[in-house]
Amino acid sequence: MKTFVSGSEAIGFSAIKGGIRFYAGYPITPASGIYAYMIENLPKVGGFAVGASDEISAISYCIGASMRGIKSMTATSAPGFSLMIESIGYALMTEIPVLIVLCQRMGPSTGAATTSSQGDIFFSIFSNSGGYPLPVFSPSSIKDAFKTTIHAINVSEILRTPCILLTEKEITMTYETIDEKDINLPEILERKYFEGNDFKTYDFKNLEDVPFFSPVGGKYRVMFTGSAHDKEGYLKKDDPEVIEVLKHLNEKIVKNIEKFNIHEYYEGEKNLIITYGVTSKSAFDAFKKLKNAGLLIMKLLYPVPKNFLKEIVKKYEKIFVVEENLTGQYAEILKMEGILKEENVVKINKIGDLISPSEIINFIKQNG
Amino acid sequence: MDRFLNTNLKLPYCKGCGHPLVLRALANALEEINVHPLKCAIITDIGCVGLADRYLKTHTVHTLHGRSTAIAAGIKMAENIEGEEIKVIVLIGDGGATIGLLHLVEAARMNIDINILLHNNFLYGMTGGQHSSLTPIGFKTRTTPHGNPFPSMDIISLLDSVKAPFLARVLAQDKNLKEIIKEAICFKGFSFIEIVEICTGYGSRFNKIDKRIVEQILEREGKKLGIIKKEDREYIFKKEIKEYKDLEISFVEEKYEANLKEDFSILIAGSAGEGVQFASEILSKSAISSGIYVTQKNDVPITVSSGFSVSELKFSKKEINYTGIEKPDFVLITSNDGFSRIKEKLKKWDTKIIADESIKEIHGEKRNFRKFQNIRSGINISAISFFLKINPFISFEIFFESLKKYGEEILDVAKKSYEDKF
Repeated sequence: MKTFVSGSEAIGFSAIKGGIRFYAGYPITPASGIYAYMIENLPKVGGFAVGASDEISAISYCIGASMRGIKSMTATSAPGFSLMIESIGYALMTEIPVLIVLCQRMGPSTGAATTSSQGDIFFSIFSNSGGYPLPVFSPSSIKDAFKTTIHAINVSEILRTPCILLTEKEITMTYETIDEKDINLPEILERKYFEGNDFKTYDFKNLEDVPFFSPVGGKYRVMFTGSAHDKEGYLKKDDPEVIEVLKHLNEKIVKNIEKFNIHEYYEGEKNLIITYGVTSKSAFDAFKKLKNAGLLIMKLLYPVPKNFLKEIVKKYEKIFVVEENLTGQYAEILKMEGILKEENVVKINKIGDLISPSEIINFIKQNG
Repeated sequence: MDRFLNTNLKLPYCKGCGHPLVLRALANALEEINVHPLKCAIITDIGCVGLADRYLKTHTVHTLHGRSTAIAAGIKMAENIEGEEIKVIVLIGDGGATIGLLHLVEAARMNIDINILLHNNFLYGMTGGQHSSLTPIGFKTRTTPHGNPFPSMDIISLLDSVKAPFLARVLAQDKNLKEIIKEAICFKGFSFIEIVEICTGYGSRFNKIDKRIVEQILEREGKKLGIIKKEDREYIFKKEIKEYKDLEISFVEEKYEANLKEDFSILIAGSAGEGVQFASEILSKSAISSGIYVTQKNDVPITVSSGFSVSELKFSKKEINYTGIEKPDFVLITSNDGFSRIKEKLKKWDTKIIADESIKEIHGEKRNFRKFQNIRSGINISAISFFLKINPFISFEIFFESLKKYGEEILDVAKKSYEDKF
């Protein structure tokens, strides 16, 4: 049996299957489909979806609900994401899980609302002050969105962090036939709740440990704060424990993320195509027609799983990074992280329309 | 008071500040209500008011500037899903109310069961005494050295206008402060108290001010004291226990044979509001029930029901990866809006075109699809029905069957068009 779904429906459906019970939204193309889906479907499973007066309210409602232990989510596009940034930093600092679906449109500012793009790689990865990492996942297709959405929720819950599901108009507003047998939802992971004595809101032993959670209204007194704090949650400044907490916020993500790496890898030789998001679909068609080239579709974009990538990349002479943006943002990230070297990277970029398989093939034939 | 406030610690406020008065009144009020401290969450905003967390014995959430109300609303809304009811109280200053005004308006409008204690001392204290939107006209602050030239916001009137059910205004020194707080916290629904204070750090430095002068300012601004409004209002967000069920995806049964020889793509260009996407979806679903893989991309301007609407469909026996169409095998043009949208691309394509008669610049197979414009989605259902005659990759009966729930009229359009009876 088959179904005909949009990316918005796939993301909404799997989010609910992945345990999301609270959604707050604000209309914005190309994310409005997710909003509509959640308003219609969350109440059916006992969840709650609400329209907010702006994206700041939307994410704040989500953070509040998540503080009660409810898995929460919102979806937006770059203009709305801009408004959410302050609160995403707050969720990061307070270690509150929340999933933010960022549906990319083209260009800066209001841009082109109904034209797809992969231009918000830098924007999503570097959206926090202080240089703190935010896990960014990107589904490679509507079919993959069923899995990657739940995976992103899992990581958000397990690592107690806001997570970004970075997708595109070409996923959320496109309809595709999906085979029933291809909808295999991953296992759901839950945040760890505290039981015992001597509860501290932000307790950890090693810097990379994730503190046990207790909800607002629960049996342990919690102190959430977005200001610099000690393990207890007391607002402090000149205290070694505060610095320790700030280091922990970084290490908790970077030291644990590699085990949550998701990708698809098809081995080849000499030339490797690296891509992500909707461009993976074109790249896959190109890969099938090309002889010898390898293909790596990344779904965890950031933090970069360095060990994994280095192992793969070293087998190839040239790396073609295919992405639908102006300057090759993910290629730049991979260079910055020391995965790729200037001399062996070839960027394939385009804006305004999907990169087609033939464009990828021609480019690789000319430059490979 | 000790159950809610750690009285061993010295509160960090200036001599004569109103904040500690409010904090003690709140602690006493909660104690008298006899609620458990861990069934209370106190949400504090940025500013001196946000220093309260460490002295409290309830759950505390110290938020971003102005966002306290929105976080509190989220905390409360979560009760619609599960979890027992807790008291949610927001401590916010006039600065926080200025930057977070819309959150207050929305919480009031939605009648969310939270209690707001607005500490209005006419200025931003923590950052050095700057004016806010609640600074009275003529009041001197660091940023209004010659007196504030603007009238202050009457936040109670504002919240009244969005049907806030409980509104009160008191002075921090008033004896009835605790009683009013108690009444507000026990109130079912959104409750808001504006507590007018003197900032002894900056308010007194720049102005001659005491309790009597504050009363005069309020009187001049027409701001009354006491409980201004208390009325029952339906609590909209209430927990409704229902029979919940697991979410299912609806699958299409593949019960028909397809006659698809080769993969192909089709682009349908028409006017927004005329059913391009709807007709495309019916075609797509009909194809799926014939075992075909389909992708459908829709291109529209931001406006609804004006301008163009384009759907791009791909049909294949195998799963489709790349959803783009470099050159469609068929183009259906049902209006001049649609034609204008794809005109440039058409020059590059040698593709089979089926168009409405009204599109003069096109040569190809033409029919009068627009004669069905008075029937909802008639034009594009007509075009697709006619297309199925030219390219019978699925049987027309399946398409016809899928349309049945949309009424006799549209079925008639489909039938006539398929039979080429225009």
